[in-house]
Amino acid sequence: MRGKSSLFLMVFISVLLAFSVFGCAQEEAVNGDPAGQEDDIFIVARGTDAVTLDTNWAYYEGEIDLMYHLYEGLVEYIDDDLNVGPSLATEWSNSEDGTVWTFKLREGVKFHDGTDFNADAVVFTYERILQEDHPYANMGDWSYLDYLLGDVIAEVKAIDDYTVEFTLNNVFSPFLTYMGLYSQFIISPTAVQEYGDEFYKNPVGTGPYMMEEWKSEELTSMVLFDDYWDEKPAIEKIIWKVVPDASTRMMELQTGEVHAIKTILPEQFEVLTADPDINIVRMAGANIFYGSINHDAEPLGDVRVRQALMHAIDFDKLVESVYEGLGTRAINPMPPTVFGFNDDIVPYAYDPERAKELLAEAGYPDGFDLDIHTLSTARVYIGRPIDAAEIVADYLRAVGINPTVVVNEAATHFALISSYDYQLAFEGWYDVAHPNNFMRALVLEGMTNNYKPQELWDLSDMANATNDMELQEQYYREMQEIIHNDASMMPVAHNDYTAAVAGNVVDFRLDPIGNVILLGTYFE
Amino acid sequence: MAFYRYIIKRLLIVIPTLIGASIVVFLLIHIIPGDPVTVMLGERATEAARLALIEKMGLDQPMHIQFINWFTAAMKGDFGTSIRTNTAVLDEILTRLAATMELAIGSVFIAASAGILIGVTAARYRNTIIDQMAIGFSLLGVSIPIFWLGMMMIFLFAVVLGWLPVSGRLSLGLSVNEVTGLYLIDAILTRNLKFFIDALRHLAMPVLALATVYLALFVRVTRSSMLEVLGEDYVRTARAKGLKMNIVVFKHALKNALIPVVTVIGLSVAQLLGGAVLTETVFSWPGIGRLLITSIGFRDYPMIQGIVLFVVLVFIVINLVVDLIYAYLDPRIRY
Repeated sequence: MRGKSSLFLMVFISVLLAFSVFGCAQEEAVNGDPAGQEDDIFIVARGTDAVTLDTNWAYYEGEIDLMYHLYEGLVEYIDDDLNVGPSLATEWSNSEDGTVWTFKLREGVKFHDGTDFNADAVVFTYERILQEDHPYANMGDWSYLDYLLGDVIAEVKAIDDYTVEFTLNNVFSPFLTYMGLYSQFIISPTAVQEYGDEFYKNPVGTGPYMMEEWKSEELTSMVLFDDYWDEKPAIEKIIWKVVPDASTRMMELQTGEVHAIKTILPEQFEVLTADPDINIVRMAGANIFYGSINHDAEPLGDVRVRQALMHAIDFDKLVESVYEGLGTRAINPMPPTVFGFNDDIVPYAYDPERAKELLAEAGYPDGFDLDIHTLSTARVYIGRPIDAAEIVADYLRAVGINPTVVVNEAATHFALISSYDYQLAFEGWYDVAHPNNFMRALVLEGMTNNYKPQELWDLSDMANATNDMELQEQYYREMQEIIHNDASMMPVAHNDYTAAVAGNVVDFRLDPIGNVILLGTYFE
Repeated sequence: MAFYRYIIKRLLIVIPTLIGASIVVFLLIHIIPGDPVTVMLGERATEAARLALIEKMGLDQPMHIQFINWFTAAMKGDFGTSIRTNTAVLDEILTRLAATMELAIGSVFIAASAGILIGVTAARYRNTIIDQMAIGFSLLGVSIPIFWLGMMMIFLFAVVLGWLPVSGRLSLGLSVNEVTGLYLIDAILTRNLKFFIDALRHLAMPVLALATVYLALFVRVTRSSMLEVLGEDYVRTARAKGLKMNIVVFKHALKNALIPVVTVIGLSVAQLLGGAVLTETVFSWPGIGRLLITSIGFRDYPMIQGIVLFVVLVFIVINLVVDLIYAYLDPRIRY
């Protein structure tokens, strides 16, 4: 008996000992730990890592944050409405007919590898993506630059060392706004030539930070670039840490191991708000969560049926319970923060009786069977897609429709939607806060719902073909009115982009695209 | 001689097993709906965009051609390039392997040493309070969801007590000379005490969380196997000779009782080398489990195939090792 109890005692003591060693060691290590101590290192925890660091080929959520620190474009956004100001270009002009843009480039700018920034670098950047036979073409899978401007830009030409001319196929009103976006940022031609297919791991731009280390799925670190042309940011080094679990992320912030966490869950909002040492940063997001209605799937081709769906659902309540205050109700395909938003639209009122009448008029007094497809996991525009679909189903059941909620994993879900194999499916969109990216890229090009009226195409073409802002606004408002009257889709909500930061962090910024911007950030 | 022939025979079985496994995996991942292009394009997956990218990535070829291409390359040691990250599959697996091995070895080591000790003691003092505590504890251990346990450990040891770091493998900003990729060993090799302590502190919670689950399993297996052995005639003979119970248990019975335990330990190591998804996620541990899950979500075919083949290989090798240990434990077993 004695032998065994001493055995247990030994185990117990060694466990205790081990923990006290950890405890002591921890005091020492924390003092040497950068987090929370030294003012010049800033650590951000995010759920996802980048896949490529090549800005012209980047498009994942996990990589865009990084691009705004490593690279720069000819112009940059100076406010949340995406108005642009000078960056690598000091001034620019548009030709009489609107198709030629001339940029005067900043002199004395260097890339991180010492290469001079000049007109050749700009031409190289664009030709690498837009010319299929370019020696460095196809270095990625899908380019946002190609998607946005591939059909727009006819030629990029160096006039002299510091003047570049972009010739467009037609007048294209979003052009200047797009030039401030990460996919249009300028890369170092010598670095591309040097690293070739490995450039995506060795990014070289002109941005205030240069790449230090990338440990896939662990961290990316970047340090201040000594020869940066403009005033340098206050933070010496940024570490982007990958912490996939949202609860772990929150605890990382609470213990001071990181200074900021990107994206907080609605259920964490209250805890974090109550913490006096933590501040929450919110930004109305340029995104939308909506129900895609397949107009070719019976009986959804009938406008009365679609309007009945809209009347059957109390969207305010739905948004309140699913987003818990971190989102706003959507009434149009684009967010109210975007230029051209039609605020005259009066959303369909929650009116189950009216819904039943409309269904009866359409010949469905006893309702119909409806599959509602939804995503199994969160996306940037929705935290709890299953809850949203279940609530919608409850409302529809109340007016006599017989809904079945089908939950799909992302790959299955998008495959199903893109092959038109659904009736009602919840999905979303997040993009640059420009009306073209919602009214055309989403409504006319992105959405697979068999609703593409010619008049919408015409209005979109007209809006893109004029630089007159008032005319553009008029066209976009008209488009939203048509979509509303046709009840062609079911707008649900716009998700706020969120982050939480330590109390001593000042000027931590989220932009309307959801990016973390640390260029003005400092510690108090 | 027969012994070596046995080993060679066992190693040769690897080939048909790998071929069979790769065919099954290939078929399974292609049967499930969705493809890498759809995931990549996500919301932007219009039919035209999808078709263009599918063609660009060579996914439009007939399935059997894709399989043969992949398989012949794999035979030459080229497991292809990840669709998601564009890195060589083998490199990516090897990078993650070190992190996963740290967890697997650490947790099985702790779980096995403590588990065997507790299991033997429980059997030795069968039906006493010690036995019941051991059984109760192991029941708890196998029932606790590990992500919850991990969460609670972080909350207690990192948030409330502040003893241990929340997650990750190393404090950020600590520079490391990687030799093997196993940080504890690297720290010893480079004689860096600070690095060693830091790595150990990061390792502590995930290893303990995993060990709790496996500890429970080992306790149960050891206990029941020991009880069986203690009922054998030779144990009674030994006792009748007047030997002390402890000597009987540890000298005569233990070795024989360990055979099923070794099997379970072997399988646990193999399982853990395939990655502990939940633990890796909660503790931001960059191991193979997370890589596999991300790759499946992304339909990263070459990566999924690579990881599964790797796991199959690990199971085969470990089973072989377990068989060899049998022969050592029980001299009657001969191959």
